[in-house]
Amino acid sequence: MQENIKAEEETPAGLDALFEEDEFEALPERKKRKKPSGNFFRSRKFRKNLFVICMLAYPVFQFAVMWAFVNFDSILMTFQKYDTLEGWKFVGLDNYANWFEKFKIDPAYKIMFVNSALHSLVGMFVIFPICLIVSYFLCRKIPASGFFRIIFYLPSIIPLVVLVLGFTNMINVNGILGKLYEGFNKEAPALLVPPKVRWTVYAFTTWAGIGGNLLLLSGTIKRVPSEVLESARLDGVGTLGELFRIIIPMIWPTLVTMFIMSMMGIFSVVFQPLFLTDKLMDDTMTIGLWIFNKATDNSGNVQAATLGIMSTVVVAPVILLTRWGLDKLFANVNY
Amino acid sequence: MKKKITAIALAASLCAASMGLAACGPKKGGDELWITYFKGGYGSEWVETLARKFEQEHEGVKVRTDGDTQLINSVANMMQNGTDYDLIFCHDITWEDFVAPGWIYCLDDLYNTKVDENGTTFKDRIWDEDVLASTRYPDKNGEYHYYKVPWTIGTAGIAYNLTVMDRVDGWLSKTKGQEYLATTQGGGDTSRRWNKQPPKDYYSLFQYCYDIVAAHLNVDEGESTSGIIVPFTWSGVSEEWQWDYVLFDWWGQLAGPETMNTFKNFGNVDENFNLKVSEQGNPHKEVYDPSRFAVVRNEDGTVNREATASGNNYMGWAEYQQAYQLWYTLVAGNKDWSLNTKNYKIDHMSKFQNEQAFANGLAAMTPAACWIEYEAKDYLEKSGQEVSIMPTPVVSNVKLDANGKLLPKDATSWATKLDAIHAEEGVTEKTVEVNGNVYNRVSFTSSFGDSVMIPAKSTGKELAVEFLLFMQKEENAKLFTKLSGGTVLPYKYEYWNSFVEDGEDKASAWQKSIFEIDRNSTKFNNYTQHPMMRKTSLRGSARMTTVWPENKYYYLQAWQSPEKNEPQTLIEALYSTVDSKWNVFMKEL
Repeated sequence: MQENIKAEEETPAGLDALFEEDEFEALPERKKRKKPSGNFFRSRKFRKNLFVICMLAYPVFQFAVMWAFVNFDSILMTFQKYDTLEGWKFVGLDNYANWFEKFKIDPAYKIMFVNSALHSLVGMFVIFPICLIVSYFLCRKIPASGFFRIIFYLPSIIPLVVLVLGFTNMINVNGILGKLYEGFNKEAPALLVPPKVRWTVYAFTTWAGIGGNLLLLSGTIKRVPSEVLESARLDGVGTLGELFRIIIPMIWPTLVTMFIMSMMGIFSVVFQPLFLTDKLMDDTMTIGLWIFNKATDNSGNVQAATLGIMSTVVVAPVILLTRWGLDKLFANVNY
Repeated sequence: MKKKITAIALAASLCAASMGLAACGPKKGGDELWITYFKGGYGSEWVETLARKFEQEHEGVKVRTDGDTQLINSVANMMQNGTDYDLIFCHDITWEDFVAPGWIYCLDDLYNTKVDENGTTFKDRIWDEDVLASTRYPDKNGEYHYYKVPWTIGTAGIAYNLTVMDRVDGWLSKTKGQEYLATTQGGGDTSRRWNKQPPKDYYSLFQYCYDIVAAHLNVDEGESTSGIIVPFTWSGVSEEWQWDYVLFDWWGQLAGPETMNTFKNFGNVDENFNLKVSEQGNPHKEVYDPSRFAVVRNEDGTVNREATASGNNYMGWAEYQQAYQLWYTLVAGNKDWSLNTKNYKIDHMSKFQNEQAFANGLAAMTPAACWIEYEAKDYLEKSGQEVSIMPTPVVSNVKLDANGKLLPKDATSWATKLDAIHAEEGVTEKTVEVNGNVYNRVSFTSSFGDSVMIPAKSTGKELAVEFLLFMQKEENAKLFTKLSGGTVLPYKYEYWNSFVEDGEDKASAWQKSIFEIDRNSTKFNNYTQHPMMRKTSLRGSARMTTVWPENKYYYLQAWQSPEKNEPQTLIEALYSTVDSKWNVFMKEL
């Protein structure tokens, strides 16, 4: 051994001396990959790319047609007017100017915007907090939490028409509400005609809207590590403290997202007033319902598209700003 | 690699299968006629029977019929994107919008087709010129062509329960009834009975209501849990607009059909009161002005045509306000004359609950159109009651006080006196005599928006045209009337004999009334092609046309709060609204 070491120190070629040519066989030459003989379309690279293209083709097509084209066409429509005899004509900003004038002189449009805004506020400050509190207590495994979970979620999976039927039968003079009033020898109020119909619609959207967020919130709350909660309880944190100082900060990003979705209630209340009252009324009109009603003929389409664009221009910055502000409140927690 | 191929193959086969499922259903053959129709008050029996008869007369042809209660929501899509259906029967279709883009088949050839050996064309078979005018529309070059066939000519007004009327007569024959008849409100004539005859004029209508209230009859004979019979039932929640049928008839009586035609065309009419296209860019908002009377009357109650033409020229809404006053006095002014029991309330009832209440005799009358007997037939069969529809009672020297309350017929002073237009030509088959005066009988046509169309992309146009020619034949038109419960087609045929079998007329009282009103009234409607109605927000949520600005109704709120919805206040407010929005409407024009 010492000799060998000595040999290395003495000669730079010591290593070479250690490995004499005859002692080891040289490694065989690596075979060079054969280039495909002529046909690119049978190459591995091409087939891989083709697979990716095929899998993406449908969603890209769907996006291009159902989102990009539709929105582009809608925006284009707002600068045009439809004449039954002459077809489409370019009119510049006339449709937008007309809308401002309509809004100034017709109180019905103001009611429509107020209704839509109120639906959004109901979603944000009534439905959403109820969902949060209910989800929290369901996650705390209160007695019969499984049963309550089903009951709360049921309105979200039952079709709207059936839900409306059940609700109207409930508040009808022959329904539960009617019987209650009868018990007190009073006449049941007419809840599906003005002026009370507006509040009936809010009541319905609240009742039917709770279950939608419940599942998501329950899942999010369950993800909070139990050790954190146990530690908090050991430190003497009560129920409210646990909810507001532990749970909410930890699930804040999800809450922000769901809060923003609730803000979208300004556009998402469409058929509920129509199905409840069986007709279009100023008292219950919303932006979504107005757009739906107008979008049955070409001249109505233009007005509907214009309102949609104007509403988006106003509401989108508000939502983005709200999101930015809410994100600043709590730092994101990874667990 | 194999896994990728398997994945692609699976995805592709799933897509192919789903596309196949999406288009599932029988393929249309070459000799097939496909018909889709609105499935509503006319039922399905008529189309099924006519389809089978058509097949028998056209060997090798198959007819498929599909009813759809929501057809109105898919018509535009079908016309635009193509459909297997060759014929579409539906209500409230804005077919005029389909002309410019070329989605609707031009029917000029059909209308010029000779239908018999005398050289009568399909055009000649149409009810009248007014109906014919509604089937034409200008193309891009301004030339008028035919694009649709009208489906029905409907009749509407006040439906009344004959069984209830008999019960009222029964009460009038008894002691208490006789005592009542001897009073001022009873009229003083103890022999007075209705004998299934409807009230002829406004005062008689009020008298009938007084009789019903005085009789205080239980709904169920003997012990009743359903309450007391009242004069009226109507659905304030979803069908208050049906009062329009009565209101428009009174308006027509007070102002004449010429005023209606001028109104719906915003004053842009020619000498025949048809739309004058060259002037339609200049609509007149004065048609909504309640301070203007549309017509000027002579001393004898007829219309002074010269003075009218040189004056307001049939433009004005004062008579409309008067018609609304008549409704207000009758219904809003007598709130407890409308149904209001534990289970049936005006502001709670749905359309079907209302039909049920009427069919079961909870109320004596309801505003309705010609299809209600057919629609409510199950309720009527179960209750065993008989119904009919009355010609809208004539407004004959109606006297009102300053508060709009009805004064006695023989009152010597009054604040307002309303009297329908007197007939110029004396007694004819389209007049009615009341209190020594001869009045024109007018009747508003409901269902004027019902249309039959052929999509331009239809592959069975020839068969579709054949079917329309087949349907207008006397025997087939009668078959439609018979199987749809008495609905009349817009052709010239003896619809009043549709129920005659072996020499016996088996039409119900309802159907006989419909026929009588149609035969003996001047029909009018509110359909217009004026762009002010069709293109602007003035139409509101109405699919086609509306008389009330922005298609808003005030019957329910007037009944709920009469003091806040007095006729003058309401109509003036409506005119003010129209006036303030007129610039917006003009920009939308």
